[in-house]
Amino acid sequence: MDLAVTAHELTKRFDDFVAVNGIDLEIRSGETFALLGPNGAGKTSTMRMVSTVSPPTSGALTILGMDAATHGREIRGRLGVIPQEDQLDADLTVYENLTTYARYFGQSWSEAKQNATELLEFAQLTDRADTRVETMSGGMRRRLTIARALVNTPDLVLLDEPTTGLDPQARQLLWDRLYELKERGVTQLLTTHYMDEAEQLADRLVIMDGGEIVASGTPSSLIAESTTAEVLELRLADDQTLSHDLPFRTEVLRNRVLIYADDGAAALRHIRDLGVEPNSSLIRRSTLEDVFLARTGRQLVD
Amino acid sequence: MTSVSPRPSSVWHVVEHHAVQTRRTLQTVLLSGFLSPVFTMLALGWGIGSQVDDVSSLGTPDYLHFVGPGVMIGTATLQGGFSSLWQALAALRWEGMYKNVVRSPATFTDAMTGRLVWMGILNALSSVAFLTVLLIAIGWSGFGALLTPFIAGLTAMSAAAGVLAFTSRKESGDGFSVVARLVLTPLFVFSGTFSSIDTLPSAIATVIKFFPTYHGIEVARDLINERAELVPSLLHVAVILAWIAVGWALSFGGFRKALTS
Ligand SMILES: Nc1ncnc2c1ncn2[C@@H]1O[C@H](COP(=O)(O)OP(=O)(O)O)[C@@H](O)[C@H]1O
Ligand SMILES: [Mg+2]
Repeated sequence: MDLAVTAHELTKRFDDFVAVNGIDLEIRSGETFALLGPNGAGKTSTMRMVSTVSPPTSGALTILGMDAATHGREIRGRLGVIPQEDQLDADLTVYENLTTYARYFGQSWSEAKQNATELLEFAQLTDRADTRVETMSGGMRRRLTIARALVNTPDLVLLDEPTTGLDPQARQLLWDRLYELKERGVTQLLTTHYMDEAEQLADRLVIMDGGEIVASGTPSSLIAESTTAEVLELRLADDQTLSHDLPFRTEVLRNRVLIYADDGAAALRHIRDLGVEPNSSLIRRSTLEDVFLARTGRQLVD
Repeated sequence: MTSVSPRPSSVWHVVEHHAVQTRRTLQTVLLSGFLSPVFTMLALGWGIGSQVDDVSSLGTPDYLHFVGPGVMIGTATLQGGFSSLWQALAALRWEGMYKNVVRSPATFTDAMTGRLVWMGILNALSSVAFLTVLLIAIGWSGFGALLTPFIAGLTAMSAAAGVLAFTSRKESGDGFSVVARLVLTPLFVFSGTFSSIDTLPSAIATVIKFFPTYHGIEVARDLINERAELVPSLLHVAVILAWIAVGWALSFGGFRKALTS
């Protein structure tokens, strides 16, 4: 099998602080792979190492068949990197942002211009070509950042929290663009702290916490392994408690109680039979959020 | 990651990137790099110069021949030095220009080097414009004068490199105005720009000779007045080049930390 990225015991330390603690990764060519984890999990530090910008403290890292420690320039020439924060040239136009960046990848000005025109189409920014970045919305900036990362038609695209801070509409538009990239066969490695984003986009993922990988697999296998098919969410009145011994795994969160049962409706009947009448109840299917809670005892997003 | 030596093609891409950005601020660049020094030179050369009866101690035919090259190189020092304060900090930290650069095949040393080369080119170009006005005012003096924009470019690079060594380690602009007021402005004024450094107290004159501006002015003045000699000129240029090399080396750690940690 063709691997786009292999990492073995990859570690990043900042002074005494261990941000990434010896993780192993294998990302296959053509797949979309996600690092899911809360803030501080070590996702950005991992991405910076994979983008060959930040040297690992220790561990082995092979990207597109080349050793990251010795072939940084060659590897970066075939990567597209979308950082967590947009770092666009605010003084330049949308079009100039693309053309000047393409030059770094050895393209002639005419190639760069040709490319920019196509990428503006892809990013749905054609009518903005001559706009200065300063005046654009967050969603447009994000799409431009992605377009700019694609100037070299990369084989591997790295996206660090691609939709954080975007409204639902802008987010959906961006997801559509990422699907299209996937259909073109581009390998994608993305980080997110949104479980729905990982479920929507990723073929496979790892869950990171405290610099370590706590679980890995496909979204459905992770859910099947770590949690029940359904979850019953209850909101109780202030004076109510659920101190009974229940035949289900329960998690008591700040403002709700989660009851893990393959049949949520049966679980709700069971609780009512005990004489507990919750203020409200909701039955939903399990998500990666529940997987994270099961594995770490904490919530992904507070 | 292992190779940290700059690569010419990548350095050139950084230069181009700066050039595209500068197009947006061309008015400011022209004003501070060309028009303002031209006014300074003409006001002093014609204004004060007409009051100076005895120019024999200056060793030049008139005051304009003296102050013209001084203002050219002094301006290059100011422009180069200033460019390494807020602008450099923005490119390195706030706006992230160089953070994008290191995600391409270019490296942090390409970014540093490209920045300095661009400052050299920009100041050489504005000095060409300045020189044109100077030559119109004093008349053609010989081909040596045509080398002065090159000296101005190198002096700008040396000031930019020296200040960059300071800025590359900083996360905010604290101390920038001190550098501007207590280092760059005095260098512009006291490096033999407006009067010979022999008129300064000897301790100050010694300090001034440590900095590149004085050496740039000496060479440029000799070239404009057709009295440059090879060995002394090369020694002056060597001091300027040493400043570029040392400034580059001292900026290395700050750039590496800011861009690749
Ligand atoms: N340059 C740095 N210096 C010191 N600590 C850092 C640096 N970058 C990240 N960290 C720390 O490493 C941890 C992981 O950060 P990061 O990789 O950004 O996580 P994530 O992207 O998952 O939020 C955090 O605790 C962060 O404070
Ligand atoms: Mg992050």
